[in-house]
Amino acid sequence: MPGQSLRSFRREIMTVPAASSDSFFLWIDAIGVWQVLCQNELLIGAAAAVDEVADIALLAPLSRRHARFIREEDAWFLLPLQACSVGGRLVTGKTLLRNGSELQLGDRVRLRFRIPSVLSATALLEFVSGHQPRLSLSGVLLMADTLLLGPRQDYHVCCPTWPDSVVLFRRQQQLFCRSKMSLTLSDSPLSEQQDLSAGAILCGPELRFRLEPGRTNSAV
Amino acid sequence: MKFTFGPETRPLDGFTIKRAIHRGGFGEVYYAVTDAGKEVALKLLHNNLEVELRGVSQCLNLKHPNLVTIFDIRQDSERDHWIVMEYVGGQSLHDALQQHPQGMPLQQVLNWLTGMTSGLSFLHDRGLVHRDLKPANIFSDGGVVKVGDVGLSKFISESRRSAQTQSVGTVYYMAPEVARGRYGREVDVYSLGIMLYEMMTGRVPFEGESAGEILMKHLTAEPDLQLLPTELRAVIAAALEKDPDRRIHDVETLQQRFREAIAATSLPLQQPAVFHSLQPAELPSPLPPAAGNKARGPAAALAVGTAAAGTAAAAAVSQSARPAELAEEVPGPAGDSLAAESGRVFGALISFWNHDVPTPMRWMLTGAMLLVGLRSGLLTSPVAQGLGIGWLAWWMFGSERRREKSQEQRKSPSTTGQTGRDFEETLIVPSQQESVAGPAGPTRPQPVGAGKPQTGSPAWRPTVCTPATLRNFTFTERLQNATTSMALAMLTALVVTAAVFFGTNILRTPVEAVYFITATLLSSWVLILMAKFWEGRRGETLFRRFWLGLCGLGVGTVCGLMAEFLLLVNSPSPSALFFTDNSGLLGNREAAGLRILDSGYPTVIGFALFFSLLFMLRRWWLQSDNFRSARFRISTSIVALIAGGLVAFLVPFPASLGSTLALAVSVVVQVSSVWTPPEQRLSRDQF
Repeated sequence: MPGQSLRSFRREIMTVPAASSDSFFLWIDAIGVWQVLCQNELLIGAAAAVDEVADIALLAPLSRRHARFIREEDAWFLLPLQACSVGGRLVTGKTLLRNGSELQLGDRVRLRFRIPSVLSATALLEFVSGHQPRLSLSGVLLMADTLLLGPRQDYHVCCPTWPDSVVLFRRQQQLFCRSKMSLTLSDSPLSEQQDLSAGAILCGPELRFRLEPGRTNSAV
Repeated sequence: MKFTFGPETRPLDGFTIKRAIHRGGFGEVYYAVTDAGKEVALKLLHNNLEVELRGVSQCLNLKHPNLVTIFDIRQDSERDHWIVMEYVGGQSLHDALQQHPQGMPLQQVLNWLTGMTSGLSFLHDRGLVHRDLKPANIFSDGGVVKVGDVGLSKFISESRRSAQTQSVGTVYYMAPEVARGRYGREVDVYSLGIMLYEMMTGRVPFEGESAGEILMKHLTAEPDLQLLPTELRAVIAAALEKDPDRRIHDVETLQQRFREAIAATSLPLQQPAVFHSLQPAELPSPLPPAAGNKARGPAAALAVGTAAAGTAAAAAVSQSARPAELAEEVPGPAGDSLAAESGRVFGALISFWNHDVPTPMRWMLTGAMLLVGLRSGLLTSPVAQGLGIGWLAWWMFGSERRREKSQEQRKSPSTTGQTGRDFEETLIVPSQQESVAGPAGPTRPQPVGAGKPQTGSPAWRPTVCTPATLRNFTFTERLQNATTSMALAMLTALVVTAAVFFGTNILRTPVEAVYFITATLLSSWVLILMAKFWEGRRGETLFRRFWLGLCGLGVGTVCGLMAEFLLLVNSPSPSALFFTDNSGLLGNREAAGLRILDSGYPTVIGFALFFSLLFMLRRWWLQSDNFRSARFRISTSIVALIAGGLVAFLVPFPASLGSTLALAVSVVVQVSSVWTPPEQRLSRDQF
């Protein structure tokens, strides 16, 4: 079957198997898709046809290892490996990132760094210049311990149509979900002890989202 | 939001759904990737809508950078049709508008316009019309504007008829002729015009509670262009022309004229256009919805806009709500909810009365109610008069307040008061400078060549026409208007008198009826004459009231002498109609030689005083103006009735006669005076 061979072909060249729960995709119906990265050190760079090294791999005129995002306690730093500027200023050493900082990588790539909620060190990278990974993303979330999803502007992912909020949180390499709403996981009620790091489709009143483990935005 | 297909399902071979994007009026849209990894949007069309696929197949091979490309149409195992389309990742114009509740920077407006024009003109050039343009259908992907849903309008109109699921959002952008089934490319020009208006002001020109109300406004109401810079009004007005034959014919022309107008304004492109014509500091403070049952228009929307910008909570709401809906969601001060609720109910009732009850029916119902009221003596009873006086006081206070508000908001350049002559208190009154066609606005530097009509575009004319709109009438026209109205007044006075005579027990003898009709007619004639003389001119209210008071003295004297001549008063057997046992606030001043009552019957002086005060109390010229909001407004007549009762109480004068006369005069003046329906006001060339 031709479709089948294409899929296996794609898997061979593009998919890097997920080692742990430290990287997943968050697909939210009617809202968008985010890449969620949980490591304390992340590499951003150009996408490669083979041997992808960057955690955030953009289709952009960058080096494959362009810069690192480093989290220390509750603060995020940018460690430039190639030409980078923060807030319009060229940086050479480890630089503290603040909420709203505009980052420029190389000549063309511009990103906005945000820490949407004061309750968490989780950061959000927004694509300003339109340079994206292979598949379009709404943004990249650098997850510290928690991820707030819901109808408020100061949440990491604002879902205006949701009736209430959902909290995703990590404990010992495992991923859990908590909400005042009754969520279901494959038609059975979700418990707070359920580890979701292997991926899950969660449904609630007027909402549905999916956690898909993986480093590369896989289609399969 | 529930969607049929979940993540990782494969309804079509070769495509894996990753997430749902949104649900439109006619189907669900999903983000999917092909087996090789290409991202696409899949639009599911349910078979039970009996859709016709010809529209889409026609557009299947259109290639243009500003149109969302359709790749294919597929059928799944359930025989449902799927449209495979280009996935557009960026934000839609709808999202962009939510971010700019006060209007977008002009540069952004131009960017969107350029892309839309390019895509639409490509479509039009191939004989196709989009028909369903709206901000939710326009996207910007990496700076490239893409028009979506090309070729789908047929589906949409089909599904609209079969299922009442469409959002009101569509109706905001629908051209009036669509209601008549006419779909030329002017339909797209109109929608584009609406979107331009919305991009610049942050709100759509026609808002309403229901689809029906909005459609009605598309058909009849004139857009309020006061929010736009003067130079841009002509082009938007030409794009929003009701008659497709008179509208700008193609999107290219619209774009060109819009760009020329922008160039003429010399406005900075980094800021929204309305920033200049309306400084934020001059926006009215947020008012709860109850404050304006009728003021749902610009004032409410603007206030809501400010509220949305001001508070984070409201800003969050504005992400999901349209301005009209927002008006009901912005939290008012505590304890306001009841008032807001009753205000809404009242507003809905008013709206029902104004829009859903046919005019003849309205007149008949009104007439019947008045007759019943007069016949039963309810309206002329002391209790009713007390209530009436109270209401009148409240109403006058209210109208004063509303006027202040509208002046603040319009930044009326004048304190001379010409904008205060509002008949419909909530209507926007164009200020003197603007209606004289100057690019006004004290905050803006005068561009070179100001005041001259721009080449290629007609000089701007006011589009919200009220009695305060200045007009030029020749003497002949004034005479013609006056005589026509006065001739009609004879007939109306006859009908009204007949109604009072046969419908109530106020007039008992034919002589009384003759007296009543003569007094009514005389008063109406004088009022109409004065009104038509003042029509379209500027004038001080106080000055006009004074003149009307003088006229009233004359009319009253004639009426008093006539009553004596007909032996209704000052005779051995005076008519009970003229008797009053009220000694009044003024009363007799024997010492000053002022004798108003002669043993319970008014003297000639009493008549003169009554008519004089009655003429002064109301701004009668507004009831006769050909730009009054409606030909006949019952509320106006009821206020006149109460005013009559009030004056009769003051003078004193027989209460039932006084209030009935005032009512009759008001009815006759309103019904008889020539009136221009709002939609025809623009075609007048008297500005």
